[in-house]
Amino acid sequence: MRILAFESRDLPLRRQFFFVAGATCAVSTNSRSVIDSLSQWRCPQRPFERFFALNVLMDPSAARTRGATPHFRGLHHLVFAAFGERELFVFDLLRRSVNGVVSRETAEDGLFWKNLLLPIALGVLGPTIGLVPVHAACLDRNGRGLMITGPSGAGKSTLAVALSQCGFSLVSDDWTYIAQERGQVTAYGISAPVKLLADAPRLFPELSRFQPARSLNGEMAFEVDPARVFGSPVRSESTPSWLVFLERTAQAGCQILPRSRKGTRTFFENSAERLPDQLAEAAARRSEAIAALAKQECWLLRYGGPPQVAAEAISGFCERM
Amino acid sequence: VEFPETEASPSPPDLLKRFVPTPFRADLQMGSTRVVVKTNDPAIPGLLRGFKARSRVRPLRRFRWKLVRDGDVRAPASRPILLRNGPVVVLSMGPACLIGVDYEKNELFAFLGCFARGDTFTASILPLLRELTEKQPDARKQKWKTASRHAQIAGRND
Repeated sequence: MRILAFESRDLPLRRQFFFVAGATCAVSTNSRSVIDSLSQWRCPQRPFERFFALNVLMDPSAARTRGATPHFRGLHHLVFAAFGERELFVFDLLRRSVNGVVSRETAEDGLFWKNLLLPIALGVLGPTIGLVPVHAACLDRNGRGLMITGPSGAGKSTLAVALSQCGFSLVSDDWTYIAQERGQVTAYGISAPVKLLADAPRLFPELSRFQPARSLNGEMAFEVDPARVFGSPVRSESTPSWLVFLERTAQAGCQILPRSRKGTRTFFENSAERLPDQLAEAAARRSEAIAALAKQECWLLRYGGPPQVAAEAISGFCERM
Repeated sequence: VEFPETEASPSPPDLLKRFVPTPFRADLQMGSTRVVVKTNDPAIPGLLRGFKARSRVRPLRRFRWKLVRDGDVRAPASRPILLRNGPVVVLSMGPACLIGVDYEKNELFAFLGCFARGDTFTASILPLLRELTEKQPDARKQKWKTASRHAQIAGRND
């Protein structure tokens, strides 16, 4: 049996600070490659109170399991994420820490940290550190945030990309992290790639030079850097001003209607992952953040046809409001 | 002015299996430790009968186990790894067996795949759970020899 301890002497690179989607992550590791893989989020000092520890042991004897999809389980305050046979992360929601063991190959793989581990860590630990993951895209225009949500498959990502091509900056296309700070709500993204389904090239010809691949949830999809592929302007955060719910219709056209704040709040509450009783305080803080978010103007967007048409309509709508 | 409402989404699925009901229960005595077991597998209390608590023994410590039979996981056990950080110890044999112990809270959680049934449970997993329960959180590497042996046995039962 391989026994690995997370003690000071085992993690010689101590408490390196990174600022990720509104949270401060203090990394301790035995691997310079892990630090290098996270370098885009590096910050010189601990800047914020939303804080979690990420302790990573690179095990030179561990090998990555090819094609393994992450296996998640959790009870009470402990959540396990097994990546194949020899790579494992343990999230401790009470102590706000993540402990993981990875192979050398994973330590060096920047995409693993950016596309998988950090979004997972923020999704799992977020509510315990005051950062609420909501299933919504977020765009920004002149410091005002437009959040787009709706059922899976409603077309959040395609609309987000279309909006980023008509004057909005992209904060996130799928998961947005909400925090209450200085009396207002701030929405953060993680600079993750945008995910578009396999039929997206008919809407975005820029994708025709890429091949779709199987994503985390098993769907065949394009996961691409929006700045590089679409020339989208990208921002790390915004202040939400409008919440838009998507409803796709078979009929071409676009209609924007007011929606109640109560219904919005209920939608986000029901969409949030259920938390165990041991995390009642985190659940209460999450409800507060959702209530604050739902105070923004809420709209229902019913549309059919290409996302570019809806994007033009929303753009004009936001200019008028 | 219309106020249309999109259907509120139903509660999201329990992907982590955090809320699997565990209606089957056993009360055990392991040395000086009283263990209350909750599980979703009706076979497990029967496999634990050798440790049934006797009321005359006064426990020095109380522990809670939550054992979830993970029927979706048919993979064999892989080589075990044990992660230790402060009061939390996690033993993994890949998705087939994930065990977490929090010594501050005196709790043990386990997800056991299909491989860990019957004799495998009794011969390998149960001694492992017992040793993990009776360990002290500051146990050092050299003190995990017995757990290591049982984990290796379980890992070979594929």
